[in-house]
Amino acid sequence: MSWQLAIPLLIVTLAVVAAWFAPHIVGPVLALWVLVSSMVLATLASMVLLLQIAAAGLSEVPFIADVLGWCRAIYGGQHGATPLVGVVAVITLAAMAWRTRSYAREVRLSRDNFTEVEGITIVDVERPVAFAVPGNPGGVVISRSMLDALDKVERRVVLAHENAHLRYHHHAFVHTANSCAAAIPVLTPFARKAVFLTERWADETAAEKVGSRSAVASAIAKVALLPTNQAPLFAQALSGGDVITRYEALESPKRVPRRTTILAAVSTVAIAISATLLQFHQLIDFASHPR
Amino acid sequence: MAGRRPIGALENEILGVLWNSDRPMTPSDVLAGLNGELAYTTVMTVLGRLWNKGLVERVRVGRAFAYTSAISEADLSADRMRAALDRSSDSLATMSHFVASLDPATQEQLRALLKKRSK
Repeated sequence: MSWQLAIPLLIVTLAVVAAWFAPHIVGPVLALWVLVSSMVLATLASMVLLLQIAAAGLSEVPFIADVLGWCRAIYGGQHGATPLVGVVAVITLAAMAWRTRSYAREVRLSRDNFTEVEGITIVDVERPVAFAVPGNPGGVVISRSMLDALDKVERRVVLAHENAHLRYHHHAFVHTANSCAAAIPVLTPFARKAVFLTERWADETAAEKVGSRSAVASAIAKVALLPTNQAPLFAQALSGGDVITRYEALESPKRVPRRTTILAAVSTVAIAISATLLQFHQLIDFASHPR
Repeated sequence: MAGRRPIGALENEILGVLWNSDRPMTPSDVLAGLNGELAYTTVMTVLGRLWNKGLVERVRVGRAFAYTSAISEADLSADRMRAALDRSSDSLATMSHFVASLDPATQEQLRALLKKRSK
């Protein structure tokens, strides 16, 4: 198998890298779409390439070649990969599937704690928590300590922010991105960025709802600085730095992307789609014309 | 892109409208506050549900009820959920939080940023 067969995957990888920078040129909504869709395409393209390597390698095993009705390989690697490489590809694919399933189970377990949430649910815990529980009916869980610490506008900010998560199905973006990262661990920082972008999206939606971006910024800062919101060092919150970035984004003027930058962001996805299709085409091509 | 909103989101939107107002609101006031995006009966139903939960108080105004928010009276949720929240942040790892818990260093950084802005 020549390395050229990986060229489509390489192109998709470049698109994912480009998508990392999308938040700098377009708003959070489009940036999230571009980022998550290129992550999905990269995962698909990788799986297709691995399938092809697996097929090439395994078809060199005489027994399998006979079953498939393909010609037997005369020397190792004649079909493009040795049987050993094929087995490695199969194991990699299995590991990807297994890790994705474990992630799905983790999400389900976490959600099972909150099946009774319908609409607004107020809980009595010391930590200032507020989060959206997706699903139908779904809703928002807020701790009374959070509500007590906030004034009226800030309460509305929190509610509008969490409501945006529900209304725009942010959990779907987050879980898709996390599933890709479970399958391909190097995508983990990209999944974290996707989570961050859903927060930015919800912040901007809340800002529209209350009619002030700086009101959202100060609500974020206020909750972040509540003494009860301090995490012990060993449990350092990954999104710690994100809070500061969100605050700064809301305090700086809203960026209106130009048409050319929007076009650039959309073309990134278009290129990634074409490359993924090409990768898939190569697999079909290989399966129908065994060398 | 919004599509149909999940049922659970309605309570939040309507409570958000009530939080925005200083005086008691009738269902039609709430409807006006929502820019008429919902049916009147839906608003009534959701207000009734909020009242059952103790999240709003109501007074009779003519033939209708007028509602105000009443956070301090609200029913607190079941113990099971509270246990999940108390247990650890693991059970919440896959949820979208308004603001995640911060380590002391990040809080310090944010405080410095706020101070710089207020100058």
